[in-house]
Formats: sequence, structure tokens, C-alpha cells
Amino acid sequence: MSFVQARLFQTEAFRLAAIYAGLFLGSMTLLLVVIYLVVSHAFAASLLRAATDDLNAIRTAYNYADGPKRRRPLQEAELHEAKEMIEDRILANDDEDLFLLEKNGRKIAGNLPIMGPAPGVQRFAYVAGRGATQRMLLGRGEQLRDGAYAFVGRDLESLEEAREQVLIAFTIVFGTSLVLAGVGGIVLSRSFVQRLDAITTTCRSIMSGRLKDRIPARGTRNELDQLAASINAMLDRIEALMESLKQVTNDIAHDLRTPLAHLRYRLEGVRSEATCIEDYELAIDRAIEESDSLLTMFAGLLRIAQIEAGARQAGMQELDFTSVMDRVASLYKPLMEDTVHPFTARIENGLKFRGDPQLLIQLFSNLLDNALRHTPQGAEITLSAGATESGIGVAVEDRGEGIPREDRSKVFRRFFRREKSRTTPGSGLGLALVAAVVELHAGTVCLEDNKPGLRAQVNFPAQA
Amino acid sequence: MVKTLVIEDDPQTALYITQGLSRNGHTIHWAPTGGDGFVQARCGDYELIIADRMLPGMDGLTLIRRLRDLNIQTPVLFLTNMGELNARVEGLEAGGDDYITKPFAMVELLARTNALVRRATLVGAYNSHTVLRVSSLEMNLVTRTVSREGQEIDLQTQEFKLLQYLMEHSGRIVTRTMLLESVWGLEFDPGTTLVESHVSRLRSKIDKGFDMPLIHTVRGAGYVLRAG
Repeated sequence: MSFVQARLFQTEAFRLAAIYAGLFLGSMTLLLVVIYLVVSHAFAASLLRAATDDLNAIRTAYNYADGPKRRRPLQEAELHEAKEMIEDRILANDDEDLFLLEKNGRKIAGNLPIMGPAPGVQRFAYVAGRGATQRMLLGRGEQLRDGAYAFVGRDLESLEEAREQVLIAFTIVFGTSLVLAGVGGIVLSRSFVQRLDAITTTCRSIMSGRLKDRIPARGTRNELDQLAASINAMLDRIEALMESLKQVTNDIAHDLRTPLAHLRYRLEGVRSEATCIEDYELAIDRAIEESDSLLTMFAGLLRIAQIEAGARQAGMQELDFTSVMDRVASLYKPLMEDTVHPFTARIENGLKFRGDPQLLIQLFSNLLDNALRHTPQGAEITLSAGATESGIGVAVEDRGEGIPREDRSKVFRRFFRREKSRTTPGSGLGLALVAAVVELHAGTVCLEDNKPGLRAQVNFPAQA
Repeated sequence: MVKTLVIEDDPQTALYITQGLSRNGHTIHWAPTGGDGFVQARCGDYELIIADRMLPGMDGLTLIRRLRDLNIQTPVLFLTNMGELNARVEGLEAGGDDYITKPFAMVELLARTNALVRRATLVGAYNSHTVLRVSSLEMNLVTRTVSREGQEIDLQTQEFKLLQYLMEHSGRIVTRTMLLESVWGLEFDPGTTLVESHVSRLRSKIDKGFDMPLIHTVRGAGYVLRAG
């Protein structure tokens, strides 16, 4: 786990999560700053508008206290309308609304202390109530007639509160997002790290020799599972290739050693026992024959290996499959008659296939050859080819003894020869080549019971 | 004497070829590398070139391609290694006339070199032949009929092709693999008595009922069509 934790913050997933969280928080900050500014500006503007309305009312009450026409200095008694208006407002309201009406440095009404007449929008600190703290206000002052000055303000406490609310909300949202992004990033990258570690662990385990190990799949269809599936498929393929390589090596070591040893025994025997030229000549002829058959086996092995490696793609071409099969049939007909095997070829017309003609002929020639070798005289042999639902099917059937079920898959191995056929000539490579050619053409081959006899069924897929 | 150039880097193989061909009327020049071979092939007046495909310096395919570019039409027999799947096609495309897979039997090499040399000397007159004749056996390539002592013999397509090949090479040994390649177009040896069956069938049609057999089996080598 410490391994996981140490690497957690270096993972790509975590980095992406962090970048995403950063961008998200940045844009949220911008949004909140805008909201904050807009809200406080709008709030202040509305406070000022209300104050201006009040000021207008006071101005009207004061300026027209002596009627609309008369123009003389106002008397003290004539100020009562404006004074009462202010006092009513002060009584009706809490401390939020602030008023001042003064004339010649003397306060007529209001809840603000005397101040120097300053027209226009003002923002300043004042002392609210008795012994209370200093608070900010926003208001508008105006010079009235006859040296009077009026000021209407609004306490800014509510604006401050609104701002504070915005800031608190901002902090909560910001904090929560930060936590969510962090946790999300950690969870994501941890699962990412764990999946990657599963792959790493499997790779190391394979490197240390446990070739059967595979990356566990989670059954989801995400990229990592697809990667794991691809790697597993690759490992399967590599393992199969290694397996076949190992088998070939073993085959060569075991199966080619025996004929070589026989050759050596014979030569040694001749050397010690031959008495005349004829004996030597005979021995040399036989030695040549034996080395020829060994060389044929080597050539067969190499051919199979090359076919399996897919080296013969060059021979692939569009084929008149019917004529290829006709060639095979006509090739074998005389031999079938000579060996007294009633031979029937049923080949459908118009079969088309993409393949390598040489290898296909060799494939069916090997199957027919097998049928010939392992059936007694008089046993029927049939070659049939035709279109199937999924492509082309070819069957080679005989009426011989067949192959027991347990040996049917083994006979496709190189050098596998059943006990009974060990004495008959043959390299044990024929069916291995069949399997390789079928594989190259993406087909399938299986051996079935022909009741009695053997039925070799080869199926090729329709052209992709 | 057939003047033959052997381009082969393995001295053992070169010696084997030299000994075998010398005994059968060839004068052999040996070039151990592709470069040497190219120079000698350009200057010398050879009737046959036997070239390995894998050579130090210039490989066999390139060598022959360049010779053909210089319009040197000496017949070429390629030596290829076993298991090389596309050897035949590549060799023929490069301008080779035949190929033989190493390791090979001397009879095989002799049969093929003879066929090549003979074909080269015949090449002018060859195509104008419409009738092949060996003793009392006659093959008309235009009407595609065969007769012996005036008696018409009915042959199937493959049998006709087989007989034609034997008659074209009459008096010379043709091997099983040569027949498989030329008559059936097979690049592999099915390893059964397939050829024997076809030949014995042909033999029964050509030789049966006549005093003198024409198709002879040469043990360990192949067949030969000749009078007597």
C-alpha cells in the first residue's frame, strides 16, 4: 500500500484531477468576485437612491415652508414642517436612517452631530447611539436656502452583512469543492495505480518465469480492461509460439536422433562385417537413402515452420478452388487405382477462394496420402468439396480403421505417430503440415468417425 | 564439353558439383563470391551458370538480374536452401531458368543441367517443332495426337503432358521432381508413388503390345524415354 501511496500524487490521473480541480476553483473564484462586486454595488446604489428620495422630500418641505411664491428669509417657526418630518422618520425607524438639518451651525433636527456643510455623496464614519461603536454611513448632503444644510444617510451595516454572507457562502462552496476534487483525484488515481500495478505485477511475475500468469480482468469495458485483454491475448500468442518452439526443439532432439542413430549403427556394422564390394555398395546405398529421408524430414519441419510463421503470404492469390481440387483428384486417381482403392471425387463447380495453390494441393495430397496409407486394399476413399453456409468445406473420407478419439488431436503434432503406424514409412509430419496450412488460411480441420473409417473435414471461411 | 560457371561460396558443395559435372563432360570454373561470379559471367563465354542464392558480396538473385540487364542470356540454375518457400518464384522472376534445393542428389543436378543446356541449344528451332518423334512414337503438338507405328494412342491431358515432357527430353534422364514441377506444377514432393503410378499408366498405353519398350526406369534417378 505504501508503494501505492508514494506514487499516488505522481500519477497521470491525479495530475489530471488536480488540473481540473484548479480550473474549476479558479472559475468559481472569478464568479464569486463578480457576484460580490455586483451585489455590493447594487446594494449601495439602492441605499443612496432611498437617501436621495428622503433628501428631496426634506428639501421640498423646507424650501416651500412659506408658500410657493414668497422669497424672504425663513422664520424659525416656519421650519417645523421639515423638522417634524425628520423627527417622524427618526421615531418610526430604527438606527438605519440618519438625518441632519442644520442652519447657520445650529442643529434643527436629526440624529447626526453637527458637521461642516458638504454637498454631494458622502461616505464617512459616525458614532451611533450613546457610547456605541463607530459605524460607516453612506448619504447625500445638500445646501438649502438661507444657509441651511440637509444630510440624509443610510447605515452601511446591512451592506457589510450582505457582503459577509456572500463571503461565507463563497468559503463553504470553495472549501467543499476543494475537498471533493482532492478526494476524487485520490480515489481516481488510486484505482488507476492499482490497475497499473496489477499489470506491472503480472509482467514481473511472467519475467520471473510464471508464464501462465495473466492480468486479472474486471469485466468492465474501459480502456484499461481493453489494454489488459490485449496484453493477455498477446501473452497467449507468445506462449503458444514458445510452446510450439519448445515442442519443435524436443521433436528434433528425440525424433531425428533415432534415425541418425540407426544410420550410425548400420555403418558401424558394415565396417566390421562387410566382406565384399557388393556389401559396401549396398550399405552405402542404404545410408544415402536414410540420409535422404532425414533431409526430407528437415525440409518438412522447415516448411511447416515457415508456413506457421506466415512467411508464404506471397503465394496467396484468388483461386478457382474447383480446378485446384480437380488437380488433386486427377493427381491421385491413378495411384488409387494402382493400390485398389475405389476413389470418388465429388467437387462442386464454381468454388472460389483466396489461398496458396501449392500449399492447398499439398494439404489435400497429404490427407489423401494418409487415407491411402492407413486403409487396406478395397477400402473406399472419397474426396468431396462444396460450398457451406460459412465458406468452403472439403472432406476426405475413408473406410479404414479410423483413429481412436483420444488420438485425434494428437495426430496433428509433429512427429506424432501412432504405435500401429510406426512401422509404415512416413515422417509423422503430414498432418502437422495440414494443420499449419489450414491455420494459414484461417480454416479449421477436424477428424471424425466415418463409421467406419476416418473423415477429415476441412472448413475454410468465406472470403473476408 | 559444356563450359559451366559455378558460383558457390561453400567449398564442399562447389567440390561436389565440380566432381560430378566434370565426370559428365563439363568444364567447371568456380567463383566463390557474388562479385567474382558476376565478373566471370560477364567475360567468360559460358553455356551454363550454377549460382547459389546466398552469396557473400552480391546475392544470387541480384547477380542474375544484373546479368539479364546486360542481355547475357546464359541459362542459370539456382541452388536454394531447403525450406525456402518462395524460392522457385523469386528465382524465376529474377531471370533464372531452374532451381534445385540443397542438399541435392547428383543425378538430379545432372538431369537438370542437361535439360537446361539442351533447351538453350534447341531454343531457336524448338518452337517450330510441331511433331516430336522418338523411334516409332510420334506426337503431333498441333492436333494433339499420339501414334506408335501408325497406331493412334488415346491419351488424357495429363498423360499427354507427361509424354510430351519425356519426348522433349528424350535420351536424357528426367527425375521425379522435374516431372512433378513441369507436368503437374507441384513445388513439393508428395512423397508417395504418385509419379510412378502416372508413368506406369502411360507406359501401359505406349509400350504395351510393342516389342521395344521406350520408357525406362533408371533406378534411384528417374525415367528416360529412348529407343532401346
